[in-house]
Amino acid sequence: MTAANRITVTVERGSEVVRLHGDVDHVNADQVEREVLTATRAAASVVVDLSAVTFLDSAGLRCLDRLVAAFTKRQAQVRVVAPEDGVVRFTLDLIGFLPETLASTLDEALRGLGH
Amino acid sequence: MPLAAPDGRPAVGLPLRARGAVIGTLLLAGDPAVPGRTDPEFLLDLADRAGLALDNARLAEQDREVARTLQRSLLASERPIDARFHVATVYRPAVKTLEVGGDWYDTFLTASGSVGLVVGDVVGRGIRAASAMGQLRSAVRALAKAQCGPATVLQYMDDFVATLEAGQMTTLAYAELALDTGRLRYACAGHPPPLLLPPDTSPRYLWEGRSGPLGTRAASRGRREAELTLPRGSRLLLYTDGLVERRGERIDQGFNRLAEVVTSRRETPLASLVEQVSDAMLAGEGGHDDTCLLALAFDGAPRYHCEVPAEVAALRPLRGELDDWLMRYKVPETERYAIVLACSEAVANAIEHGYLGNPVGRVRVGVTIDGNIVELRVSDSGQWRAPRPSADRGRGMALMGRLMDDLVVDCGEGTTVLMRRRLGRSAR
Repeated sequence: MTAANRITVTVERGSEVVRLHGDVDHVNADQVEREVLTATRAAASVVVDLSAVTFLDSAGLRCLDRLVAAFTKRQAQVRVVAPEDGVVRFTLDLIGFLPETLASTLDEALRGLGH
Repeated sequence: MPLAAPDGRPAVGLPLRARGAVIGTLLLAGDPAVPGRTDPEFLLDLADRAGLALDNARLAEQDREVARTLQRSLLASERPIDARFHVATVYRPAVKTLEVGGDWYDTFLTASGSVGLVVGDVVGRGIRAASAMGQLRSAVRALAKAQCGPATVLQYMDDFVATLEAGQMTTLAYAELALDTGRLRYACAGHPPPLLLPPDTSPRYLWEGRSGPLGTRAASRGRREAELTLPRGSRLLLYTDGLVERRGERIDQGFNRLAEVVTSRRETPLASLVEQVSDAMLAGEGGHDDTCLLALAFDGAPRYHCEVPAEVAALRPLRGELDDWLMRYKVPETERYAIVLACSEAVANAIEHGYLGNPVGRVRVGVTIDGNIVELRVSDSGQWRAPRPSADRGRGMALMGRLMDDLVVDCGEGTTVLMRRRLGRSAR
């Protein structure tokens, strides 16, 4: 499976919502990063929804770091959705990933973006 | 009743009677020894006696069959399945007598993560002994669930035996092995001592924790138990006296023989061991007593091992396989994720930094679960380079350090990353 069929983009309440699926790891992190940046080129606010991500390692974390940095550079607002008690949240909490960027649900993320 | 035999000789048919019913016919053929002197009364009496004897034999056989069935059903019950130990058993009935004895063995898991081991010997034979054995066996199981320890189990068994018609003077060895720690508590009520075969040292009999047979007042006042820690890889044998007793031999000679027989079969798989030990111990013996042997192997730590090519494509199948393996040993989901993630990070490190992505290299992964400690070892034979100050690699190492309790990196010929995690530690 390629990274492409693991990414879906929709527009919800004025934000572009990027949903990732499956494992984001050393195997595909770079590709995921490129595809997300391409898919959200013109967005003013972006939600990266990790609810359907089943595994996230240090390469996946680096991918998230770079995405957040790139969106910030583009002056786009960004939120990352990772459900409480999920495996992704476990990894993010472990390294203290940007707490102000994190949301537990899509709704919480969209509200955080002022929608 | 005058008849003719198939060969035409004169014959007489007589009813075989027993307990008011005709159970068969006796046919006597041939010429009377003294012609005309065959007394019909004598023949009828003969037939009656034969009928009764046959019927008695039939009833006795029926009793034996009932006792055998009862005993078989008791000895063949389900065994606990657990990766941390396995058990093999043998029951050899006495050859000289047709009646079943009251020997039994039993193994079961208790709620506290221990396995209970029992070997007992009820005095007497036949249905009475077999049914008493069944009741005692169930009682030990029930009492073991209360987790009160071997000495207390024996005390309660004394009370229980007092309510039975049979079962007095039953001897019993009862042991509880905590599967995580190897702590063994045991007690023997007038029963031969268990034999411990540690992995590296000579066997020894467990002579502590002794008191008298069940149902004796003096013994019940002083029920004792003892404890020790079994090293992993140990074997423990419980048995009935029939295994070590031989006519014309002192009992200590029997004990010595058993120790020798077991020591010379250290490497024999457990299922073959119990058969071979029984064969060797009972060879040349008339089989005057039942024997029962239960052997437990406290298994070495479960091990997982694999070797993968140094390419990232190997990561996902490896993670799936390791997760399945950990699941088999009932490692909870969150902990599995942490261990699998730490392993994946270490293997990714070896691929990217040890071999610089050269897929000809191999990465070896070894995992053991010893008690509640999971140990993870990832090694490569890549060329050692001082770690470049790369943010990625730092993050991978930081993750591993937080996922596991210990993290040691050993660089020599290649690099070995050794990590440990204590299962059941509080969630972060």
